Amino acid sequence: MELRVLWRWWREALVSLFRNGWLALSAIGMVLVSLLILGFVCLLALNAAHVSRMVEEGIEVSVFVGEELAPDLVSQLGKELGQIEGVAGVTFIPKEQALEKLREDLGGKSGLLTGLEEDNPLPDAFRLRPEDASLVPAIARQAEALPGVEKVRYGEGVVEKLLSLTNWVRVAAVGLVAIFGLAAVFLTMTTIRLSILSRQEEIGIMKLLGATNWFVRGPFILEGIIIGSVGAMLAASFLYWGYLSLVEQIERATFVFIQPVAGSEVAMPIFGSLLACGVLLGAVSSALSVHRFLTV
Amino acid sequence: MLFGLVKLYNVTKIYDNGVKALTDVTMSVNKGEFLFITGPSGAGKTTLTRLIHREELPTRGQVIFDGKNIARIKSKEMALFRRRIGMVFQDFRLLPRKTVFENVALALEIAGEPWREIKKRVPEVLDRVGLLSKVKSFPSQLSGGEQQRVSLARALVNRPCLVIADEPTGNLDMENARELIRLLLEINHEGTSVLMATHALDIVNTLGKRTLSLEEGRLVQYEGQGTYRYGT
Ligand SMILES: Nc1ncnc2c1ncn2[C@@H]1O[C@H](COP(=O)(O)OP(=O)(O)OP(=O)(O)O)[C@@H](O)[C@H]1O
Ligand SMILES: [Mg+2]
Repeated sequence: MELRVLWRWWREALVSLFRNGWLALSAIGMVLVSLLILGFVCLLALNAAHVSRMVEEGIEVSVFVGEELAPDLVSQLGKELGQIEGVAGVTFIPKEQALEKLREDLGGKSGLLTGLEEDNPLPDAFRLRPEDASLVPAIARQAEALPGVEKVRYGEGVVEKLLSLTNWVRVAAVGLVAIFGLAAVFLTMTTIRLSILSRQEEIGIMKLLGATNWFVRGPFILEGIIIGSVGAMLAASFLYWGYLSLVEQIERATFVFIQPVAGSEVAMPIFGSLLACGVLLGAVSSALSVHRFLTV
Repeated sequence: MLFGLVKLYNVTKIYDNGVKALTDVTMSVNKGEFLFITGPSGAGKTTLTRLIHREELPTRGQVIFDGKNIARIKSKEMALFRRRIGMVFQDFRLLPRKTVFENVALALEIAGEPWREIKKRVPEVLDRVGLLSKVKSFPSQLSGGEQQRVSLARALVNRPCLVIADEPTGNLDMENARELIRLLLEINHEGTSVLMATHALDIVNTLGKRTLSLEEGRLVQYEGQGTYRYGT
C-alpha cells in the first residue's frame, strides 16, 4: 500500500472525527461505558477464579498411621502414598509435631496437655497435597486401602460441596463475561453503525465518482479504530485506578482470607485486552457498517 | 455512428416501482461532440444519464461505452469506468461535510492524483467556474447556483473523456447560465464529449448543436438541428 493512501486515510479520519465532534464523542463514550462494564465483569471473574483456586489449594488429605507400625514400614508407607495417582506431594508429620501444633492451637488451655509427652496419644500422620482438588476423594479411597493406614480425613462432604461451588463460580464467571462481552459488541456496533448511517449518502456519492471500496472504507475503519482505542484506553485507566484503590481497601481490612489478585498482575491484562477489544470492535463494526452501503 | 463513444440500443428502463421511464431508446453520443437532450419534466432525461453512468441498469437493451457493454463491467473495474465520466448531477450531490475545495479535490483523490497536483488543479478549475473565493465554504453555505458550479468543477477537474451535465443551468440566472455554457463549449473544444440535458430551449436553439428530444420516455425526433421545440 502506498504511503500516500495511508496518509489520506489518517487525514480523512481525523478531519471527520473533528467535524463530527459530538458524534465521535458519543461513540467514544459508548465504547468507554461498555468496555468499562465488560472490564469490571472480567476483573470480578478473574478474582472469583483466583479465590476458588486458593480455596482448592488449601484442600489436603490427612492419612493417620496405625500405632503399632514399625518406623521403617512408616517410611515405606510414605513412599507408597507418594505413588498414588494425583498426589503432588507427601509431608510426614510425626506425632511429636502434631502435639506441638495442638498445644499452639489451644493456647492458654495448653495446660490440659501436660504429661502427654511421654505417652503421646496422637498418631503419626502424612499430609497429601493433591495435584487437583477434584482428585481428593479418589486419593483418599486409595490411601485407605493401603496396609498400616488407620484413618483418612479430608473434610468429607464439605470438600465435595466446596468443589461444586468453585466449579459453579467458574462457570458463572465465564458466562457473565460472555454475556457482557456480547453486550459490549452490540452497543459499539450499533453506535458506530448509526454514525455511518448518517453518511450513507456520502458513501454513495463517492462510489458514483469512481471511488474504490477501499478508498471509502479505509478512513471509516481508521475512524472506528481511533474511537475504539480511545474509549478502551479511558476505560482501562478508570478500571485500573478503581481496582487499585479497591485492592488497597480490602488489604487494609482485617479479613485477609479473601486475597484479591494483585493490582500489578492485572495491569497488563486490563490494558492489553481492553485495547485489543476496542481496536477490534471499532475496526470490525466500521467495516461491517460501511459494507452495507458500498454496493452502488 | 462510427465514432460513437456511447451507444444505446433499444433501451427500456422500468423502475422497481413499475414506472416506465424510458421506452426503446436507441441513440449515440459521438466522440468529441456536444449533444443536447431536451424534453419536459419527467421525460426520462435524468434516467438516461443514470444508465450511461451505470447508476442504473437498463431493463431491456444495451448501453455500450467505448465499445464495451457496461452491464458487463465487473465491480472491480467499475471505479475506473466511472472516473472516465464527469457527472454534473441535477441534485449536485456534493458532500455536505466537505468544503468546496475538498469536494472538488475528492475527484482527484479518487483518481489517485498526488497532493501537489491537487493543490494546483483545484484552484484552477474553481477559478474557471468563478468560485475561487468560496474554497473554504461548505455546500450549505452556498446558493443553489454556486453548488451547481461546484458540481461542474468536480466533474471537469479530472479531465474526463465525457462530461454529462444534467440540467446544469437549472439554478442559474441568464448571465451565469451563458457563462456555464461557454465553459462547456470550451472543454468540448478541447476534445471532451459533452452530453447536456436541459429544459432551456433558448440555449439549445441558439447553439445549433445536435439535439435529441425525449417525451414520456421515447425519442420523438431523432436528429434535430437545435431548432426543435417540444409542445406548441
Ligand atoms: N428512482 C426512481 N424510482 C422510480 N421512478 C423514478 C425514479 N427516478 C425517476 N423516476 C420516474 O421516471 C420518470 C422519468 O424521470 P427522470 O428523472 O428521468 O425525468 P427527467 O426528464 O429528468 O425530469 P426533470 O426534467 O424533471 O429532471 C418519472 O416519471 C419519474 O417519476
Ligand atoms: Mg432530471
